[in-house]
Amino acid sequence: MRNSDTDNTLFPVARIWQFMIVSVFLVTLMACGEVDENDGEVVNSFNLPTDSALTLYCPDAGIGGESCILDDPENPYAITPVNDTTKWDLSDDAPSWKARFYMWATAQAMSPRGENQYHVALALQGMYSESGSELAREQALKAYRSVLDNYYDDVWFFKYPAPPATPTLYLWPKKVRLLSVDNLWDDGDGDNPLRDSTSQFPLSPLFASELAALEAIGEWGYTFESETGDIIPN
Amino acid sequence: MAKLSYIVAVRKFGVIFSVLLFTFLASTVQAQLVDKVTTYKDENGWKLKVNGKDFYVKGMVWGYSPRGENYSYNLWGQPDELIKKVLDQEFTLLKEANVNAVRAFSNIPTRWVTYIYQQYDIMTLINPLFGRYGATINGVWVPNTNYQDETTREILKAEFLEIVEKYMNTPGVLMFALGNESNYGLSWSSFEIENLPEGEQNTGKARYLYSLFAETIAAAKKIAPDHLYTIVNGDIQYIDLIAEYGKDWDVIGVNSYRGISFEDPDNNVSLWEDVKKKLDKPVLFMEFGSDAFNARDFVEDQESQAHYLKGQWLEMYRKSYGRGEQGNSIGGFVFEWRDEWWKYKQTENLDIHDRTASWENGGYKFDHVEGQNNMNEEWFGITRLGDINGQGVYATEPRMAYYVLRDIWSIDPYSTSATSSTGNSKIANNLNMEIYSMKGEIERLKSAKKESDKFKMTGGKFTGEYFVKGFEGDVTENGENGLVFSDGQMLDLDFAFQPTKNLNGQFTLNLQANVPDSNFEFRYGDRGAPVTVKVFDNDDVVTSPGSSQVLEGRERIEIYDFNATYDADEFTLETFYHVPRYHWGEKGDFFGLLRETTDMEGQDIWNSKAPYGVEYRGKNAMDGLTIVFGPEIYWGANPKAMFKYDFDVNGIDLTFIHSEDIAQQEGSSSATEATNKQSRQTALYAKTPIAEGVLLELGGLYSSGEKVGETYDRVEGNDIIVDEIEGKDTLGIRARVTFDVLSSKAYMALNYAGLVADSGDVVTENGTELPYSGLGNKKEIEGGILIPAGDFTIYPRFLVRKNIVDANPLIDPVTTGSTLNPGIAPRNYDDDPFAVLGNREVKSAEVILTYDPTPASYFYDWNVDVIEDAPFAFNLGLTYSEFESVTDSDRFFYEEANTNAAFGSGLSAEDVYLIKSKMIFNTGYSVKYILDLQRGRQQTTGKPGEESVEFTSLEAKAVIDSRHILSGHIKKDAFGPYDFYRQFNLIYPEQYKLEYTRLLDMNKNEKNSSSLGIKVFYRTLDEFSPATEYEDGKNDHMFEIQTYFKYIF
Repeated sequence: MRNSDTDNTLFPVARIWQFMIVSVFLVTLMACGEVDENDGEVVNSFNLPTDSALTLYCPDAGIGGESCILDDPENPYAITPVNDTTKWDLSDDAPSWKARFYMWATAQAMSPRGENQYHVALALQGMYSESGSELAREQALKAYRSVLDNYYDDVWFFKYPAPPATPTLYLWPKKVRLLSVDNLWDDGDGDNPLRDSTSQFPLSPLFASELAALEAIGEWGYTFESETGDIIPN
Repeated sequence: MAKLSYIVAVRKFGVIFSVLLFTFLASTVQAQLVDKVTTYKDENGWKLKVNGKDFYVKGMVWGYSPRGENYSYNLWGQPDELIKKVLDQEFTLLKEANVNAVRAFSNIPTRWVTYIYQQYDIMTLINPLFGRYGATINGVWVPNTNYQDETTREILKAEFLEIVEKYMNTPGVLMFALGNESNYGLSWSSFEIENLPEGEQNTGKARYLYSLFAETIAAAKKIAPDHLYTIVNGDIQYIDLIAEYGKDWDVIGVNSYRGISFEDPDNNVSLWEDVKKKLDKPVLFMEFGSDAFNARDFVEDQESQAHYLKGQWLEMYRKSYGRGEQGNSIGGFVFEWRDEWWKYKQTENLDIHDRTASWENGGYKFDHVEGQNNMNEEWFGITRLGDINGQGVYATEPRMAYYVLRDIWSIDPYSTSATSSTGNSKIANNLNMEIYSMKGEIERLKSAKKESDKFKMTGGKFTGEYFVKGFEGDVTENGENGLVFSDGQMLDLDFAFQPTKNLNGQFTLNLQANVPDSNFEFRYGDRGAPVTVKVFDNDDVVTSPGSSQVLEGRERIEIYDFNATYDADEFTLETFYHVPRYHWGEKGDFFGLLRETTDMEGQDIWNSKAPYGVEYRGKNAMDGLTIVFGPEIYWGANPKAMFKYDFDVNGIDLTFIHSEDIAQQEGSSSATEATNKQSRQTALYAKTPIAEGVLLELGGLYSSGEKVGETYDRVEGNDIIVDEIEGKDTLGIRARVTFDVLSSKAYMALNYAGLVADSGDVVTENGTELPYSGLGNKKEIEGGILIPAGDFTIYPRFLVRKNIVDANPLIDPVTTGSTLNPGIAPRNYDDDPFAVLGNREVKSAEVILTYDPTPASYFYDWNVDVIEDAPFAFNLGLTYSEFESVTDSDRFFYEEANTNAAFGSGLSAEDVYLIKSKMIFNTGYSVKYILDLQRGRQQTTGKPGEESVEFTSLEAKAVIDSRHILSGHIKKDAFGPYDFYRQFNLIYPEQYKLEYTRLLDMNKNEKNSSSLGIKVFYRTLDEFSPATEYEDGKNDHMFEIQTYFKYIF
């Protein structure tokens, strides 16, 4: 049914006004949707730590699937794209074991796996070697235990002859648990990486004796097989 | 020479004159063959007359809906041979029952109207539905017809006048009627039958409806003044408006379901008297009758049906001319000829005879219980829908009512000279109801249908297949031994159950024996394929060789699908498992939060079981509330619950939706689709006209509130910035305005979504390829105008989108001494709160030209290949998109590690385009051709780094005589057939497929006919093809031949 002639005249005008009002409102709303340039924090560079004093943001920082390291304000790598491509150079260029710990703990938090966990343990052992920090030693043991508990079958293609020595082009796969075992005590074997005096990264064993190491391994629920050098769950 | 010219001229004139004379005579003869139908009135009442003779309408609402089909089935699109078989079977029985007219919901073609009339002396009421169940307005399908809209009114009127012109000279036309309970459509929320409206709440809308009826009939009478016109009204609702607008309508057509009588003397109510007083027109019932199922006792009840029909007809005879009462009954069309198995739910359980009552009617006392539904829509036939016979026609099995009506109709009500009561007594005494009951019972037993079955098998399918495949390298090297043969057998069994009147459902069991091995297709059933595993003696999985073992016999039996519905008084509860489910896009879900899951075939490839869950729909006090919850309520969904509530405030329709994820999916919904973190969304939607012809839709969204406080990084100039998600980043707003521009329909939409304000799938229409995205972090404007031009429509559209925060570039971190420059990397949805992916910046434009001379078969229907009935229809579209910036990194599901993995970098800036065309030819020789062409340049959807290539694709299908199907495709430089091919940029230089299928059942299509066939695949390979196939150049091509046999029972 048609409305009156008067209505026919007004409708187009009213329609245009209503449409314009709605459009102005919406366009205004959209124009407000910009990010304020003053929002956020500029993070073009970070100072990497050169000391070896360990502080943990949470008890299990760098262990297993714990990701609190990413929220640690002391972690310079928290917003850095640490991935399989960048982590090796970042590790090699790190000025200290502490920096290396933060880097590998970040890699572990973003991609939990055996090789990342192993290198977290290695970095903590390095901090212990430098400072004698008992906290670092305990945390390194936690990390090595995590390798056994969580990444028992994981392998790492490391650069021969022993990690993290001067790089060569030869890659050798080895179970990370076997690498971990090598680092717990000095077994007097010439191949033991702890005895590699040419290494740029001298490490101190975490246990003073084989007996102490085997006791701890037993408490973790494993047995060391001296014939194979392997570590077996009980 | 001059004499010769004169002779030639005379001859020419003679030919022309003869042609003109013949044409004139033919049309005159034709016009003389057309019956003259008139109404007659004197002090004794009204009569209908055909060619001067009294004609009391003993009519039937007739249609042909095979088992497994619904309203979309078109008998008139089948081969003539089949149509004739159907008509001969049906109309022989109708004629024997003394039926003299039919009313059909589809427009019976003129030649078949004439055939029915000349062979069986049965006239046809021509009844276009006039937008009752939606209409195509300027190329756009509008489900709820707006009779107020000027464009709609013009189109509906024009369509009806076209029909009048087409049928006006057709022998056998009784009269023209418009609509079907169109007044009820103003109140009901769906196309299913609901409780009858009370009162006249929609008088405003009704006035537009009845005024349109009046205008249209007035125009029709100018074209064909010798025909009669009426409407089909829902009872006599809005009788005052009918009186106002229907003064020159010839009869009043009424659908009435008042029970055994159309009068209630106790309450002084009489349909006959009301019509006589207010309209003074003859009453022609367009529908009336009774269902044959007793909802209270939950059994078939053909006796009650026959009893009610007998009572109705005796009253109609009493009310006819010369009986001393109102004298305004001129007959009616019984609803209906045969049961229709699609009426309940309309798109589900089409091969099950549902016994669920869907509305309440106290007039049918034989099974009425206050507050409970008792009208069983699938049981209104006076004959049953039998099984298919050897002729390919579904059998017609008469109920008791058929025999009762046959004998009632053998009597001419006008010839009974006695008074009304005596005359009717005489008729009633002649009806031996016991004999009819016995006949009806015999028919029921003969049909072998156990109507009270609580659980039964309804059918199934057996598939047998045999494959041979090979790679070029293997065949070259080993000859025949390089070929791989395999076979497969699969059985599907369908079951239905209805143990009580409130509970019904169905499920399918799948069993398989062998599983054929294909290199070209991932197939449902691959779950049972043998897998080879390596077994190691010790823990050294790296260096020890291990031994291979083949695991067979996996997952041989499973439930393919299941759904059950419990219909209580206050709610409906439905459980669903792997059955198609639709989006809520037209039910207020403006942000597409509930995605459609109808691609069962696509999911079966991955043995995905979605959707599965439970849906609750409130009734009465809880009407408008819907709750859906489950482990995967649409494909790829996290376990979640969704709440929807529809309501209105001051005439504005509103919808509130909340979606809450309960957990994250553990594995991919396909092989490589990444899983998504838990999230939640809340949306509010409003729809209201703001001016004449202008509709405003406005929506607000709150999404991913759990991400507030999460950090993200971005680049600004030379700085890397770390920022936090704030509350405002979770908000989104969308507005869409639809308005008329002359005869065109235009729209404009604005969409703002905060950084993490992700929504769902945008509902697209009309074949658009614009790069829509439901992700947040965007400001979008889009618009378009649908321009009709006769049978053509032209639809230009555009979409422009900017991001609030751009994608991140890749800048490697650098350590210098003790200073770290952290660098920055593309984001991904696992490590960051948002990422720029499909919501990337774009400027996109598109134009689609469509030609469809038969808009009733909507060209953009999902089933257009089957339903399009125009001799020729096509579309041609071009979409061009400028992606001026890069994206962040997408992810994929890495099955071996059971985790998502990011690609690491994003897609580059690039311009892409797509040209596509679909053409459908319906030749007059029972051959249908369908062609789909595409040409374009498209990027991958995941893996970055490689340049896009231009591709060409041609798919074709020929359907011959509805029995032979030849189909195939040729593709050049195109992605492989599944989504992950595009995700990983896997391309084949050439792909070919050729298939021949022979349908073995008559009157059935590809989906429901037994068949046998052969498929041949061939592909060439290069370095862009999957490495496992190309094998570094060892194989330049691969092929496969599949043969199959399917038996559907």
